[in-house]
Amino acid sequence: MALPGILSAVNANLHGIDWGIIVGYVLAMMGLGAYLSTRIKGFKDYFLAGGMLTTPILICTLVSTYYELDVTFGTSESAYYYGVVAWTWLNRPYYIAIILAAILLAGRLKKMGGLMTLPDLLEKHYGLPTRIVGAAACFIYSLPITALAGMTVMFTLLGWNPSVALALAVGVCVVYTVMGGLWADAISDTVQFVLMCVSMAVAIPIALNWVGGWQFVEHLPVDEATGVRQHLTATGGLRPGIIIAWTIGALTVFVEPAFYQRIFAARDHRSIIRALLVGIVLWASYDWGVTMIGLIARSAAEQGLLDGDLEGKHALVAVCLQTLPLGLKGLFIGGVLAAAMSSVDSYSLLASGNVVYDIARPLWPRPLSDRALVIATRIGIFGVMLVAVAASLAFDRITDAWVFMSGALASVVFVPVMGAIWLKPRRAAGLLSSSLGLLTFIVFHVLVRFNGSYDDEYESWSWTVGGVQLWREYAAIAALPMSCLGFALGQMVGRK
Amino acid sequence: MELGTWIAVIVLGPGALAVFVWFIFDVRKMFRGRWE
Repeated sequence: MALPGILSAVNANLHGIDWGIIVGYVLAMMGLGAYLSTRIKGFKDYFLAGGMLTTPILICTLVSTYYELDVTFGTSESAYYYGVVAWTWLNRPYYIAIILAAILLAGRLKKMGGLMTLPDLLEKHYGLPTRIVGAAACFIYSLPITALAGMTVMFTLLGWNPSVALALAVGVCVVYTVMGGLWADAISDTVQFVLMCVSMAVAIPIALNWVGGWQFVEHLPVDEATGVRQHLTATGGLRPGIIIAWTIGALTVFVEPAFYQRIFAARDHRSIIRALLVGIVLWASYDWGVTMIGLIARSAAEQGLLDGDLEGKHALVAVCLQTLPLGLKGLFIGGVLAAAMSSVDSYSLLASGNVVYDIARPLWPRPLSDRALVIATRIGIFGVMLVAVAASLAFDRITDAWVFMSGALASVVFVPVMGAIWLKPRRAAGLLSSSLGLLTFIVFHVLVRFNGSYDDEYESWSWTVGGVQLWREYAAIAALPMSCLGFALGQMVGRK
Repeated sequence: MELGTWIAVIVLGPGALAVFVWFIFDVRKMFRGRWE
């Protein structure tokens, strides 16, 4: 059966119980925001939950926030096309980066004291101009573009009106985040965390049973040239450049604004370190589950259980909605929706904080009161949503937006932040490093876009120079050495 | 592959629920002396 047929049948068969689960979840989130809004006393309460978060709530909010639909759909899509490499090289580098961040950074940052955001750290070591450049990069990264685009894809697949469904889902996120800030965000994340994890735990054995058990791997395609099932190899037959680009992407963990916000919101440094280490086990399990569903979808397509023309990005939804029984479909849709909503609420709060607290506050002619900061950040969340919707129109695909946003963040703030934490930097080092990183990132994108050509197979832009093929995804790889050079120059010529 | 998958199911099912129960028992500690 073709995907539209499956989905329309599923949609028609969504039972009252399924809808009850979805509506109940939405109402609970709104009520939570309304209650918590009565407890907010100041900006630290609103933006950092008063610095009171303990290990279990940190686990829930970290795990659910970092999962957007592009990660979920992207991993199952990669598993569908390439196999277990979706786990081994697309996701595993992030676990290593998170372990290093937990051991080397979290405790050190928490002990610094007096910091609320990543740009606070930049200003402390490099001054206001570096703070502003860094905050702008954090703002671009934090715009919830990919989460909104992911939700649009899912609503379209479900046969719902994407504009109406998106407006409703985003409206709910905005309402409870505006009211309750990080408290509402983090507590709602606990529910979202359970929904997304449990729905995946239920879906895996059911999908395995549906596809005929573990023998499903025998139906995965065999490479004619090598006689190997590439889906079961660690690299999936991918070219090394892509695997290197994926690995470099894991560097964003060290400058992830949501991680920093939760580190500063933690009750103490032990809480955040424990949360990150437990979180890795959950992230790895969820990624493995999504990878398995992608493999099952591929095997099912090869066996004729699913349409052979099934697109990889539809694999997860197609398998789960095809196999899950009554009630569990609602749980699954709620789980996927929860993964998206937990990202929309967290990153809209962060992006608004970037504009109000990180950029406007230090530039404002007179000091802003705590109350003014809370009000402005609440208003800013609405603005962030409007900007995110407008910005999402500039990208054809979710992956395009992610490559640009994560690349911009890593290029601008990775070197200065690492320098601030591990070295005794001079002020000029930060500004030169972030500016040179940003400039290289922009120039690289412009050169590849206007001198290169579009590759239909890899769905990306590349420019061949002297026999070397430069892919758009390599922009951060080019920018990071230049950012290092800027830092070194600043250390040499800057004043102590 | 099989072992990894069943470990993932246990972590995501009972494991995630255990974290949630931990959170429920931890709520009072988190808000102690603040909102009471």
